[in-house]
Amino acid sequence: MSLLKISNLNAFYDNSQVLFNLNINITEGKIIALLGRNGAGKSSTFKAITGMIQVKSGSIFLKEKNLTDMPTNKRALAGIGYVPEDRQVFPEHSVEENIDLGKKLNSDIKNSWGKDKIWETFPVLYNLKKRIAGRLSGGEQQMLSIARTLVGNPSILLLDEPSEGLAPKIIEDITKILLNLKKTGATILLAEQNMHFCMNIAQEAIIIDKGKNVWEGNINKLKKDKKTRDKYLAV
Amino acid sequence: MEVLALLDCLSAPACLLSQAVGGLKIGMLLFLVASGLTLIFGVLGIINFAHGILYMLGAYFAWQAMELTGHFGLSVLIGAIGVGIFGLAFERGLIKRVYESNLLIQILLCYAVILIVDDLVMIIWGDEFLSSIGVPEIFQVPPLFIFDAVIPPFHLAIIFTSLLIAILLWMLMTRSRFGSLVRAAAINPKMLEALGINTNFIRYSVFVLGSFLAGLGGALAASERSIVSQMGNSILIESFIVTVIGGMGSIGGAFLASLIIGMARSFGAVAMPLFTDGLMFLIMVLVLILRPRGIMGEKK
Ligand SMILES: Nc1ncnc2c1ncn2[C@@H]1O[C@H](COP(=O)(O)OP(=O)(O)OP(=O)(O)O)[C@@H](O)[C@H]1O
Ligand SMILES: [Mg+2]
Repeated sequence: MSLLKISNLNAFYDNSQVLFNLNINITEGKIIALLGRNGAGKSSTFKAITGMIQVKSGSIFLKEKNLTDMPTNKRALAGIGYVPEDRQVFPEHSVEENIDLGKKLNSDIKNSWGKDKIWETFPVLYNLKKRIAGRLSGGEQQMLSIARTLVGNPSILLLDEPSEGLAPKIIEDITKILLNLKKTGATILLAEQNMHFCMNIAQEAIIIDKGKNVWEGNINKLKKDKKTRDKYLAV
Repeated sequence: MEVLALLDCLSAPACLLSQAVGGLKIGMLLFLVASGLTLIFGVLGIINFAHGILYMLGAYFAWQAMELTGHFGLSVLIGAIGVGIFGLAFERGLIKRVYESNLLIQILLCYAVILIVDDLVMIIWGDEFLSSIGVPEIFQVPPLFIFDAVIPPFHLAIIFTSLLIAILLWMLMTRSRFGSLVRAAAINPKMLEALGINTNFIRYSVFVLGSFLAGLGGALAASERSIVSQMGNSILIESFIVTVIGGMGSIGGAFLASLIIGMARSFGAVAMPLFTDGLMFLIMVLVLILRPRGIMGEKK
C-alpha cells in the first residue's frame, strides 16, 4: 500500500521554482532509489517533503496524513525521517547526545528502535559514544546521522547521498547497514547521482531531471536501459 | 591612581577580604543578569537591548510583593517569576516578529519597549525613588568579623544563592535534555526541527529563563538599593561588557567575566575611586585586543 504520495508538487526557493509537477508514490516496505544528475532536484525533493522549502501547489501525504502545510517538526513526528546530504551532526554534542536528540518523546509512533538496538547496529558509534561529533570522520558522521534519525522510529527514511565523499570500505559498511534495514522491512527513499551504490540495495528507481520525474521502474530494467541512463544520469 | 592604597589593601587581610566579598557579591548579581543576556543571544541570535528593564521590573515586582506579603523570600520569588511571565509576553508578542529583521529594527523595538515600560513604571509606582525592600529578619544581625574584616552575613547569603543558581544553570545546560536541545538549537535549529523538535518552544523557554534570571537579580539587588525606573541602564551596560569579555553566548565565560568585573569594581573603588566605570571598559578593550572572541567565545 502507498506510504508516501507526492502529487503535482510545485516547490520554490523564494521566487525560483525547483520542482515542477512532481509525482512520487512510495509503497510501504520498499527501498527506492531517487536518481538524477547534479542539480536535478533530489535534495530539493527531500526539502519539500520535510517542509524546508516552500510548496506553492500540490500535496504530500504520508498514509492518510496530509503533510503539505505542516511545520517541519510535526512532519518528523508524523514519521518522516530525514538524513541530509551534508549529515549535519551537532558538532559540539557527543555521539550519544546526538543520538538522544533524535528521540521523539512526544509522539505516538511505535518504538522499534531503542538505543541498545542502535549500538548493536552501529558498533563503531558505540565505541565512540563519548566523542564530540565534530571530531568524527566523514563516514562515522554519516552513520551517526543515520542512527540519529533511526532512533526516532521514522516510517520512511529519506537518505540524501549517504555514500558521497566516502572511502569504498566505509561505503561497504553503510551498504551492509542498509541491507539489514531492508530485511526489517524499512521503507527508504535513497537519493544518489548514479545507480552504482543503489544497485544491491534498491528494488526500484525513480529518475528526476530538472525538477520533474522522468522515469520509473525496476532497477534491473534501468541497468539494461543504457539509453535512459545516458540521457539522464551520465556525467 | 592610588597604587599605594591598593597595595595597602591587598596586604591587609581585613581590607582584602571585605573587598573580595564585596566584589563577589557584585559579580554574582551581575552574572544573574548577564547569563540571561548571553543565553538569549546564543540561542535566539537577538541582542536584547531591553534586558535592563527586566532587572528593573524584578526590583519593582519584589517591592510590591513585599508591601503585600511582608515575606522577603516569597517577594524575591514573585519578582523573578513575574519577570519570567513578562518575558514570555514580550517574546511571544514582539520579539518573535523580529528574529529575521535587521539589527536596526531589533534595536528600535527594544528601545520602544524600554521607553514604554519606563513610563508605565512611573505611572504605577511614581517617579520618586522607592526605598529598598530590606534584608530578611534572620540576617538583621551584627556583621561577622573575619580577620577584622566586616562581612554582613546577608552578603554571603546573596553570594551563595547566586552561586547555587549558577550551578543549577550549568547543570541544566550540560546535564539535561533541555540543555542539550538549547545548545543544539543555538547551532542548527533547522536540523533540530527535522528531528521533530519544536524549536519555537525552545526559543521562548530560553527567553523566559533569561528574563527570570534578570528579574531574580533585580529582586535580590532591591534588598539593599533604592528602586528607580532608570536602574536597569547601568546593569545593561555592565552585562554587555560581561558578554563581550566572556564571549558572546558562553555562560561559563559570563561567569568568569562577571567575577572579573565584580572584583574590578570592588578593588577599583580602592585603587581609583574616580575611574571604576572606566576600568571596566579598559578591561573590555584589553580583552578585545588580546582575544577578540572573548575568554570562552567560539571561533567563528
Ligand atoms: N538554496 C537555494 N536557493 C536557490 N536555488 C537552489 C538552492 N539550493 C538548490 N538550488 C537549485 O535547485 C536546483 C536543484 O538542486 P538540488 O540541490 O535539489 O539538486 P540535487 O539533485 O540534490 O543535486 P546534487 O546531486 O548536486 O546534490 C538546482 O538548480 C540548484 O541550483
Ligand atoms: Mg543534493
